[in-house]
Amino acid sequence: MITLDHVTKRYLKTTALRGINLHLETGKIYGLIGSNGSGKSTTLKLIAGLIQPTKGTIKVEDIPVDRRIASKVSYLSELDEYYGFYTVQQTIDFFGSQFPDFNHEKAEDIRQFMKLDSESKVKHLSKGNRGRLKILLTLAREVPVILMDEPLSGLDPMVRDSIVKGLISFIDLEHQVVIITTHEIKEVETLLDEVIAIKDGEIAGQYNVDDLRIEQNMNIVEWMTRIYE
Amino acid sequence: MDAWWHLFKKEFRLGMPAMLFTIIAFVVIVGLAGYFGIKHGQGTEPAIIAALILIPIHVFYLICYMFDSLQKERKKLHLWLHNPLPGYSLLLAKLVSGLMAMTITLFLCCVVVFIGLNFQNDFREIFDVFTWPNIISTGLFSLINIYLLALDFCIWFIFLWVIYRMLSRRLGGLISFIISLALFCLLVYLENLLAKTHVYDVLTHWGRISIVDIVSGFNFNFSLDPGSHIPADTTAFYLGSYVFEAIIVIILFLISSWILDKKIEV
Amino acid sequence: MTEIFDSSTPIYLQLVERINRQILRGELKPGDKLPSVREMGIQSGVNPNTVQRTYRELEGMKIVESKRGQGTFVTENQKILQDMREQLKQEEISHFVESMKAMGYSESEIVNGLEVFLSQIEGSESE
Repeated sequence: MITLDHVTKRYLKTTALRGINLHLETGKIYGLIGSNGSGKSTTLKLIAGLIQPTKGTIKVEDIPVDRRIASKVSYLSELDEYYGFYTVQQTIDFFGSQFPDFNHEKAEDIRQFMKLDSESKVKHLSKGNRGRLKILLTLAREVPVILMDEPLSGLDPMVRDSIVKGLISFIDLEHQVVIITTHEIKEVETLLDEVIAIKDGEIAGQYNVDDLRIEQNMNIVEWMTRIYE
Repeated sequence: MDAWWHLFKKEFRLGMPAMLFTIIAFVVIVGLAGYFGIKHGQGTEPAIIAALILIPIHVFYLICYMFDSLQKERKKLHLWLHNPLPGYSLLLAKLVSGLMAMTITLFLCCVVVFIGLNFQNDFREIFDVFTWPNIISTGLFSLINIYLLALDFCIWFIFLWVIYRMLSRRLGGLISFIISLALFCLLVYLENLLAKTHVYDVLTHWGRISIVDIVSGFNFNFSLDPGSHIPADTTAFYLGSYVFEAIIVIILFLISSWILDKKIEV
Repeated sequence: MTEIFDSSTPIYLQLVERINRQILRGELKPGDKLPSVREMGIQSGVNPNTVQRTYRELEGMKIVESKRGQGTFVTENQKILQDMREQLKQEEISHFVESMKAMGYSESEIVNGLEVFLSQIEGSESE
């Protein structure tokens, strides 16, 4: 489904990823965890084709990615910049017009679930509601790959809860693979199938969440703490 | 096509403040010229002249519009570029919305001039020299050239912008800016060098359009004595050189689109 | 709010236990339909795959049966439910006894303590 083959990404002054290999399959929710600057966001942007690897190749459904892989990938950025002149509904409609796989009924269901007012101007939305809108736009697409960069970051527990429940309700695991980066590990632990730890641009480990508990008798937080010791 | 149409509408909405700004600027400038003209007993003549001056300035309209639009997109590249449409579609949506905005103020300027020519007595003398067909053909010729130049500038700008964006993630802002600028100078230099060659003349010196023809209302009876030599480059344009420039611009545009798809980083 | 899971046991096993307890308490009766995988996921804030694993585990224990196209149902086989009831009792007691022994209590102290405790509860309930 998604393959990263010896991927290295260097920026001007830093090396974000050092020759990582990853293979991600449909039907699973992956958590990409690690401290700030460990290379989580870089990995997602690479899969979305929004940046290019310095070395190595990235493929989604066997297609080498560039920007236009957007037809198969729904990417949620950690930034919440939207076109401020649009209302919530106009934003939904605009997104819907750009992606042929956008399901307007699903979008409406999610909007009601998230209790977003369709007439509010995007620039007047609270941070929590912008977070909800992002989730809506990302999940309303019937797309094979969903990438979410820090979907819970900076949101209060109520919003996090509605987002986690929204994710469970609206992801179609028969046809989709979801990759979430986060450092709010506790909130998403029960949501994940697999957890991949990144440290200093390298994969520090990959586990099935329940296997981690069975084999190591640890939850993700304890495991992470050990990796980062 | 539907996706592109909605994208175009978004671009037009994004450029709305810039467009309103130019319309307001137009009203203020022409209004002030009119106000002081009337106050100092010169009638509406200054207002018309102001509008007349504003018309050629429109060659810079698109480049400013594009700068504004890309600047607004700077923090939203992950939205703008996360789109299945090809790069040329994304750029064309901005370009076409810019052309629309440009047409609005250009139209306003032309209306003022047109009304002025009709109703301002001071300009009546013009008709001693020119006829309406003269004026309209000259006007159209100028407008076409304004559009073409505006597009030319704008696409050069897009090209340099994508080069700059492509390099800036890899080399840093300042060095990328210098390289882009140097590349621009180099390309302009090369183009000039080429324009002086014989090959260029052979390639482009066809489809002669004489300004005199246009001003005299495409009156092709106007003939030159074979012996009397009027320097060709001051009174005539070649359709060939337009095509030549168009090809260069299209190539730049395609390269820009390719870079946008493959090499730009958010 | 999303339910809290303890951190050392696999989540799917904790869900198994939770459903077993619901059956014991009579919140789920024999023949009752369990929520769909997605529904259960949303209720408990758990990945649908994990719920799937939970249901498979319960099915393996014969506590639930999945009927094609209809969903998953609590078994109507009383014997299995009795066995489960018995087994959970044994597990709970063995936990308790182990930790009491680990703290150094003798068997008679444990039995004695239990009897006194239970009679006190009975006393307070009858008041």
